[in-house]
Amino acid sequence: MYSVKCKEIIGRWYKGKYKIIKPIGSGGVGEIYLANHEHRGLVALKVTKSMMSITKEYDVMKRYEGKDYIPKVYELDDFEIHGEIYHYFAMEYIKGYNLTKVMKDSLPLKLKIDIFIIILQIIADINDEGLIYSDLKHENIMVDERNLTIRLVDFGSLTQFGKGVKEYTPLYDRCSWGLGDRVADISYQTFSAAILLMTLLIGRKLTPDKDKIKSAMDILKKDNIPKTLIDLIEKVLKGDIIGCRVFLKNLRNIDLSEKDKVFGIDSWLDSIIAILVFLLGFMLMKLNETSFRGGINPR
Amino acid sequence: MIQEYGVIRQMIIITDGRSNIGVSPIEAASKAKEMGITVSAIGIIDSEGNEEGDVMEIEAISKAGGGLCDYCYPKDLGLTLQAMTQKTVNHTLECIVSKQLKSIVGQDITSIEPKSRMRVVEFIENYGERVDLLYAIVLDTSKSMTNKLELAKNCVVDLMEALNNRKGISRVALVSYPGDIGSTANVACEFTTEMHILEKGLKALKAYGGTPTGPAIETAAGLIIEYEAPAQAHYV
Repeated sequence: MYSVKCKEIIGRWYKGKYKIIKPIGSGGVGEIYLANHEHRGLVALKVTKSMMSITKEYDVMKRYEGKDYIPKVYELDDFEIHGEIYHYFAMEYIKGYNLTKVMKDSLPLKLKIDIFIIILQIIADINDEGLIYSDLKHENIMVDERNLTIRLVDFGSLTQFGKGVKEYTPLYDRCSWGLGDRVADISYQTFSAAILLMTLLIGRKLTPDKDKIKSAMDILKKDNIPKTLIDLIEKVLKGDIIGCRVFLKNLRNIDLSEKDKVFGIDSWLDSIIAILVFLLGFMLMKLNETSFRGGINPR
Repeated sequence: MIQEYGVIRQMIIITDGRSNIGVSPIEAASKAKEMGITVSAIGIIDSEGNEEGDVMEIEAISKAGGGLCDYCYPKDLGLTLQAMTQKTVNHTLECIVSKQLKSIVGQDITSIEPKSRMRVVEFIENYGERVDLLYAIVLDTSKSMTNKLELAKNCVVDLMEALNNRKGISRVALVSYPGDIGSTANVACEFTTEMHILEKGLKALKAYGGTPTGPAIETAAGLIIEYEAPAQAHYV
């Protein structure tokens, strides 16, 4: 299925020289390869034949380069094999694992909520730019093993408010659940975030179906999850709570256990993130001694 | 700059097998392309496994028709159909803009430095949102589609919903093949912007018979040309 079969590529315009090591993922618009650049060392290459989508994704990643949850991008270029032109950009290789692994591991509820809060803050930050991350899903959220931070990959789905959503995954898509249209608005985003939380809590994915949200809520109820939390998720899914920051505020107000309250993470955000994610990494390593499958966006 | 292309004419074939009746679909696609219609195709992969010939035919059809092709499992048909529609509209516009650029400055888009392509891409994207669309869905309703037809119908409805979110007018028509009582293809729904009309056309479809892909392409191409003919003056 992977189309780049050669061992080395050289950029047509900027002459970047890459040794292809292995394919590490594929998405709707392209394939990702681990490659070695002569000076930079290991990088991830996103390769596609679709000039439009890759140019757009590169542009948006470059525009918000300073944000720490966006992988650093290098150059956008073309290369040619067997008379066919491909487009690619090189970006930072994130060694780690995606959120699917976190979802499947049985971690304490509080830890899962704390991880979700970090993700929600990132999404809120994107929304503040007037953009919706329409293809929010476990596979697009990475835990960076080196510094244990949360990074997003695949920015092809960023859509301006009000436009039609073109990239999505049915599980997180309001329209597939029969609960609204496929338009990039703030409630579309909050809906997908609530599904992300829901699947994170129950530890598995669901199949969306029109009029099936009630059975999804029943699964949540069987799973020994605090009622206040279930109520919050239900409110978000129904569109009674709109906006990631409002979601965030409500989530922080939930008393997860009598004694152990959720941290307020306003000013000391950075240190808390570091500690939490470190804890997560530590626990994962203890739980699962097998080597982590590194890679960006494995699907 | 591209006023003369006020309407994008597209045809998409959804099939799970190889044509076995009538004119070659590759020839039919190539003729449609000459008429200014882009022909794309989606092949549904069966769990029982398709033959290599099926795959090659779909690729050949889309190549001859100047469009794109893709394969998917039945469960992914909805997503694939929508992604393909967006891609093929953009692809057509990209070709048009590229041709125009070539005639003006002697270069196509890929001869522009990657750094500077974003402006062209933005232009194409905005244009793609606003341009009017004539979209003929050519749906295989042969016997082998029996288990997949209901799903395919839902996907067509979803696609129409998505198209209605565009700023430009999207007219969708539905050609099913084989046709009623021994005919090769059947116009299940003429070009419309109304969901209920399309749904009515979909409801009547049943899976039976062979796979006359070529004749169905001809029928769809005829439908597009016929639709445009009376309105021709409007575009000139």
